[in-house]
Amino acid sequence: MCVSHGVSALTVRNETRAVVPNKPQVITVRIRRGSDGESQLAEYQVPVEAGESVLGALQYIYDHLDSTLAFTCSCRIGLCSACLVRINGKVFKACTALADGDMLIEPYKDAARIRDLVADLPSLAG
Amino acid sequence: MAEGTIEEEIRCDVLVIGTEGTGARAAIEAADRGADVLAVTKGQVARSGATLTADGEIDVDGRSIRELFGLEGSPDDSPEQFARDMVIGGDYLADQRLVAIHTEEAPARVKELLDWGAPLVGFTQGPGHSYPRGLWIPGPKIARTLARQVRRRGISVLENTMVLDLLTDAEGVLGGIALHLPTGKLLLLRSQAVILATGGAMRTWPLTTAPEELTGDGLAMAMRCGVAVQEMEFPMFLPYTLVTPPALRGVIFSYDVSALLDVHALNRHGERYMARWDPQRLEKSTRDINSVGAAMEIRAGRGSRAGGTYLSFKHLPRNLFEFSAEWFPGNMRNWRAAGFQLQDFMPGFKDEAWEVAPACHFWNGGIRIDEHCATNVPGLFAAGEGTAGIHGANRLTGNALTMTQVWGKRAGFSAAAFAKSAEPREPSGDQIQEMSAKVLQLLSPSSGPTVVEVRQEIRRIAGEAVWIVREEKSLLEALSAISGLRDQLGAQRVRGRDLRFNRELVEGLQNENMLDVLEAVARASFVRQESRGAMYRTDYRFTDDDRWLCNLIVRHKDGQWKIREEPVKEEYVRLPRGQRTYGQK
Repeated sequence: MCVSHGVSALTVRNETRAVVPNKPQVITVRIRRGSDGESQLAEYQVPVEAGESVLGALQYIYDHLDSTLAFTCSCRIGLCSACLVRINGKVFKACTALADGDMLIEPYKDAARIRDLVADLPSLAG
Repeated sequence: MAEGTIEEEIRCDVLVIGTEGTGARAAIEAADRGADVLAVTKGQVARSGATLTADGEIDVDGRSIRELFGLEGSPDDSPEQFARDMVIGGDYLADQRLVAIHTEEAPARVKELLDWGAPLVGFTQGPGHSYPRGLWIPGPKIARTLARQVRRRGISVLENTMVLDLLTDAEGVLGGIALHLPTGKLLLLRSQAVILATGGAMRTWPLTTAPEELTGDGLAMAMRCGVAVQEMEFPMFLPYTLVTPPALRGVIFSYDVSALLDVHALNRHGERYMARWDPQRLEKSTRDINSVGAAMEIRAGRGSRAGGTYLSFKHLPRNLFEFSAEWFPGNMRNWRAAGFQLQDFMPGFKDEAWEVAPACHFWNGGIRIDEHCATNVPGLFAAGEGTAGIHGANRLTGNALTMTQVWGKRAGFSAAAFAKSAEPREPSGDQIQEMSAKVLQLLSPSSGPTVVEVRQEIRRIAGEAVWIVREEKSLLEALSAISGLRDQLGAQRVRGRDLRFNRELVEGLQNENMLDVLEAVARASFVRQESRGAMYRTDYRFTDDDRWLCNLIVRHKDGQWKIREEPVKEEYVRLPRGQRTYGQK
């Protein structure tokens, strides 16, 4: 990227993911994308380290492979349900679901889909 | 979006930005005072924001706990004693008048929550508190309890809506411009008063406990319209936050780990390094000292593989583990970390030390307010996390939730009264155009860095040079890198053209906010040549009460940064003199 650097390299580089001794495993993630009743499957090869979540895999896709992917999340620790999706046919919170193999990710409910993995969740505000 | 024009206009008396602990409480109060309220949130109600993620301590003095809630609170405690602990805990930078209001009004505000149905599940004492004061009400329960009260009052709520900037004229605030995420429409929100309840900017750092939304939006938009901020040099870090496995990065081991359990914080040589910082209390020292101790080990190359230090239970006999539910009353109960089953993500969690590091957790300072939550812009009020004066240079455990209720209500009251006496005014078309333009600019073709690259660069600068330990050289380098990035903000590249939940568009707007806030933090940190509370300067290792017992008031107007010193006023806690070793109070 063409932004100016210049900060001396200090010991900590928190942005880089954890260095674990085992090599990341590459998994195939298929995502049902689209809106307005139209959808198609997009396929991505995602390197995941041991102990990565499905949300981590989505974040990797957005950060490195395809930033047009629409998904939502908030707390990232399993409390808010903003990242609710269907993984291989079952509904999970993406943040607390382990990404340990190939998977198909869809909106938690097809009928509620707004775009890609973003689906309308009933409001708690009435 | 038709050429950046406003597609919908909504009018109200009081616009509340943020809908969780503080925002909901403010909206409830303003509505109860007869104001027509619109509450807006970037996420969804009770499904976003920081309140939800609070482990659950909410502080009230022990005597009130005994009298109001029938628990074993100490009769020797009092709101006055609680206030003294806060001022000392905040390393003497808090506004003693605001702190007295905080502890005086806390009991009634917490009682209200319980009367509204929030469950009280425990009672604890955190470090820095002279008596047990932490009433345990889980964050999600507080969020839902308040959401129910908002619903009951029929308060208008607009979810998935990001306010971009505040509209102002010479007389004060007029509302804001917002992006409706489900449609990509630009909205004009018009009001006589605005309450900012948007929290801190913790997501500016690469390792943080905070949810997605906390990108300093309120702080940045306030600064952009000339609002004064202070104690910006004191973002708070929590020492024992997991850095691995990847899914658990930013998960807090426990807020007060050392108070609850004898754990050992180790460097890669197996040394309990806290002996160098607090030989008596070791890991039972306060969170700021623990964070600085850990950061210095990591910086000295004695950290873990994943860039942290180690937290070990190895010295505990295994048959004690059956009592782990009693060790951690909050999110960690039964070896769950919030929503995670540790067994699934960290199979070795009972046998190996955990890799942890200081993570950005809370905003001790922020918008300068008076006792009515008023800012220096008429009609603009602010409350809760992201406002200054309550916590000084450091916050005591459990006091963030108390802050939401005491100050949320105060802001709601003041804003409703202000709105009643003010007449609606027309916002300037030029200002609306100017604010809409930055959305259009992000959507126009560009060869600049992507929004993801800009975000990563902001976090790199924050994590390396504006971490809990700082020094002049790296702060100067950070300011130069920030300046370089600022030139590129307008040229950020957004690939997606679909405006519905366009993540890149939101991130591009957030990047501006995070950069504004980071610059304020770096500038204030540069000016304060000492170590105090949540900031450690490796080039000025002492706390200097003769020179730096002052608030740094930061303003950013028309591209110029101005920082002035204002001495702290002594009220009921005597201010110290001389120089002290960092961490000794």
